[in-house]
Amino acid sequence: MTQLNSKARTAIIFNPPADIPSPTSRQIADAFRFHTTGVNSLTVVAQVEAVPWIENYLPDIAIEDPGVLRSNNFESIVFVHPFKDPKFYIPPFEPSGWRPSAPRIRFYAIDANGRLLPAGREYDDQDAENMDAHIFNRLSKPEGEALYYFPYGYLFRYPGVGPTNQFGFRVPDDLSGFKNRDPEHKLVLCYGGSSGFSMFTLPHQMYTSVMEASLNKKALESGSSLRFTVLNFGQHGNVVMNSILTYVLFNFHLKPDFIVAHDGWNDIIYGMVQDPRLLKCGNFAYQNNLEGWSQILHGTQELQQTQTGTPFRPLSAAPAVLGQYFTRKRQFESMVRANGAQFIWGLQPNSFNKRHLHPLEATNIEAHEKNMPFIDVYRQAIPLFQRASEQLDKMDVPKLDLYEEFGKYGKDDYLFVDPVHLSPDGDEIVGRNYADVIANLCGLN
Amino acid sequence: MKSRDERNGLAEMGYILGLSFDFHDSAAALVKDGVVVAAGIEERFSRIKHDASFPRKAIEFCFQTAGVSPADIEAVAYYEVPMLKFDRILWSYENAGQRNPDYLDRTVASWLRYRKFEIRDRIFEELGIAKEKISYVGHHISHMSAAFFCSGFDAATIVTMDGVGEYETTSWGVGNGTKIQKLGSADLPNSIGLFYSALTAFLGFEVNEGEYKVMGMAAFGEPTYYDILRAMFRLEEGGGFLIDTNYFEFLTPKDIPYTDALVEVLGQPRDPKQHFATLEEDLPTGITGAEADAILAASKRYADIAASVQKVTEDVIFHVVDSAVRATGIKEVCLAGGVALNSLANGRLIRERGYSLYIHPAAGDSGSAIGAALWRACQGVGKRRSAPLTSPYLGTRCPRDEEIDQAISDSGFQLHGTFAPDQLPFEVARLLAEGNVIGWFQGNAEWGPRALGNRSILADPTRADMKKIVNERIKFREPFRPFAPAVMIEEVYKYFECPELRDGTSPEYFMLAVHRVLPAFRAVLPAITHADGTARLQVVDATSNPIFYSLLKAFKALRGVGVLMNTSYNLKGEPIVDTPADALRTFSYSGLDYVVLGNRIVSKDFAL
Repeated sequence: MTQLNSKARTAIIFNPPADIPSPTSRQIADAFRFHTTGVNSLTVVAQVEAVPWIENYLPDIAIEDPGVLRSNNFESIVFVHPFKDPKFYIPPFEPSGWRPSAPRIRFYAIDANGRLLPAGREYDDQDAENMDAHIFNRLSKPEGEALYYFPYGYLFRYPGVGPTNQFGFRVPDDLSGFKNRDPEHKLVLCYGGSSGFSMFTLPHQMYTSVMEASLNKKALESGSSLRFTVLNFGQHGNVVMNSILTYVLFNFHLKPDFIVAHDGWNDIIYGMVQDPRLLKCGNFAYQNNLEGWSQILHGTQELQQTQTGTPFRPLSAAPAVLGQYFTRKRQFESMVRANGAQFIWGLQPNSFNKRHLHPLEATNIEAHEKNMPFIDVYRQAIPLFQRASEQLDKMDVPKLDLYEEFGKYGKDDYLFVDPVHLSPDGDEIVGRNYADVIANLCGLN
Repeated sequence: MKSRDERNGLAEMGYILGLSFDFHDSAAALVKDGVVVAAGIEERFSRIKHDASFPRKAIEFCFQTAGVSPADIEAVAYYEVPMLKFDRILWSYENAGQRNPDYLDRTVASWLRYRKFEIRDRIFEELGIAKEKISYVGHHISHMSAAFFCSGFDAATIVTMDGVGEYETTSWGVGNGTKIQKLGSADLPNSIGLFYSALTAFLGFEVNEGEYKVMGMAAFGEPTYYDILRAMFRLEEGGGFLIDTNYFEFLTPKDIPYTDALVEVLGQPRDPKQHFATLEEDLPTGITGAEADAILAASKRYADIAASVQKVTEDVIFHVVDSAVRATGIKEVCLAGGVALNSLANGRLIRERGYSLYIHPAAGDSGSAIGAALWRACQGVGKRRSAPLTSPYLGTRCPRDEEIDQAISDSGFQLHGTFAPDQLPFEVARLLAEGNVIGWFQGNAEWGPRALGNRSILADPTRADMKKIVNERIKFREPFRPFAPAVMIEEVYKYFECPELRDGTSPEYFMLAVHRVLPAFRAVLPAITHADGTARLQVVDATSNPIFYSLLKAFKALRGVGVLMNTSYNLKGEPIVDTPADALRTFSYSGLDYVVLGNRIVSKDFAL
């Protein structure tokens, strides 16, 4: 993860404009607290316009005179600003003649989603401690946000929202302690794509953290001796087939008690645009950008990928797309059950079924969809999500249909950062609902 | 023994391949002995809307249909003259009020990169046909040929109007037998096609795609901007016209084809994302109060502009056509070019002038593939006229039952049933009468932009909510867009104010003319009656499309009207479906309830 050096003298420069939407402000404030926890020497400065914002969202912090920046004693400088535009990283109230001594100072920014990012410099191994953990980490470019090649599936580096292990999962590196756990200690493992990874939440905001807290609270309140650990094995781009591999490679030996398969979006969207033959003949779903890997590996860039232009177009009929998803999920379920765990069928939410969009959701989604090659595919996938929801309703299995659940929410609820990825409030709903399902299975409700 | 043709002095001609590509709507057509053997639009095969690339798949389709190879091709006719077109580009640059070097750079780079100077070489490289067999036919001559030689008229006035060909934007002439004589033209920048496109862009729609939307929008407005827009044109004696170039940039356009002067007189252009609603019930859910009022007011302004654009366009069309008819003395009129798809104007020309119109069903550039080939045929030995084009079903052939079954099996959808030919119309009519929206896939694909009952989406026109359902849930398009009716011939005059039809080549058979729905029946047919009480009807009889006609009859038996709502079988931004697999894929991703493939009905059910 990108993290501040707790021993470095750190200046935080607040420069938020007055019109930041409230959900963004809350997230920035939360992120400030998260990222600066443990930093021994912290100096907060702010331009005049930002002071009311700080008083409102961070009333307990002391603001110092910007003149302290002249001391040039700082080793880390963090710009808190929700814009990506680098020009905002240099504060407009910069004292005349003062320029930060760039070679010595490490610059960071906290963005609108609460991520801590390197500012005006490349990522390095101080930002992400697992950056060089294994050969495929080392062979990949040290980008802050990128997919990279891994022989057993595709990995994504997404630091800035909290710790990840060497394979990019938001779990501790060492899981061996869970192997011979006490029978009262229930291990819940959650799978899915980037929405499962929970890319716009800080660690305590992840739906898995919400689940864990909720389950332990329920256990406590009901006088049960059970206790729960919930781990997040969501990974960007993952389809169910990737979740199966993750389970086999990393989790099978842990003998988890519950598996939550929180998915749907990637299998459906990728399934629609990929090579129909692989879908139909092998129930293979894959991320469309893997075709680019093949071109790079074999030097066949002159050959066309499956999608020959943009916007992308669906190439398979709905039964094949959904058939792959449900087939693979049943396969996952049978493996999990054979290993002694309960399998919870989750269907993740997306913004298309939300009753009304929050104004910030509408703005974000519009910006996200601009020039998005999947734009038409998103819209065309709606009947498939509906059909998947109907199918799940018919199934007599432990389940949670969040596609349907999120249909209850309206324009006062800011739940989506884009069509599928959730805000902390969205993850809160997901976590509470999954906790209810598992609590029911454990007789805690 | 000599054949009849040889006895008549008409020597056998080989196959002539007509091609149009490199701008938009690439197409190929194959003509033999004056008869169009096959014609295909590349987008239907490549599934890329308005595909402009070399029409490999369309050519392959034509060759397969005719059972020929490139070796059998006697001549290839390309639909325009590239060097003349490039000459016009240079001339435009030299004569532009404000020269735009970027435009020239981009255009030259594009011509070099895509080898637009080397049409003969490219055709030779692709097909191996000797360059000597390849000829260029003028852009407007190709259009005129498509219209006249397919019309069945022995003699006719011919008018072509489009954006721009080589130099011409509008041309008129006379056709007689195998001859076409050009009588006059208007040249760039005086273009009614580009005027319409510029205002299409102004109204927030995509050029070469959204012109129909302007026509649809016009019905919601009053032509309150007519005087302003009309003053931009000077109509000249003889059929020509001049356009005030202060308002438009047609010679070397940058991003938009109009100038600030147009914005000054019309106000701000419409943002493409802006909602359009002139009635409160058409507003998006949840929008009320001041926001709703603002949308309604803005929409009214844009509708008024659209209505004014349409009225001015009709003025210019009438001026050109009337002048041409005066010059030729012939009231049989062939229209071609993209402007000929302005069905509102076509309807008025029929009703108000009494012209006997023929409009090629693919009046745009794709139709020029046929036009170029027919022109070439008429220059050759024998000079035979083509037969009238009474059928628009020149495209991909009707799949065999086994192919349909395979596609259904591949898709995973469940078969609702297989029906005998005499039972199918009744079952489909029953499903339609229940309110289902149905994909209807029969026979050969249509040639041209209209779905005429072989690749159609059908619905019950008597249901008031059907327009909204199909626009929003099926086609994913703007809620104001109208839908056309298909009507059995016996009921045309009962429901529509339609002049007497000439024969199977009348524009009404190709959905190319708008007429009024009789007031008494507007409430009976709400889903196909547009805001101004009109409809762009398609007449169907037992000859033009037997199975579609049977369906209309069956529907009449159930619902009392021999009319169906008929729209093209595609989603927004997608070409019309071509194969059963396309049809089933589109079925997947839309709110269609059933699809009929031949005599099979497929439901939305599938097992998971």
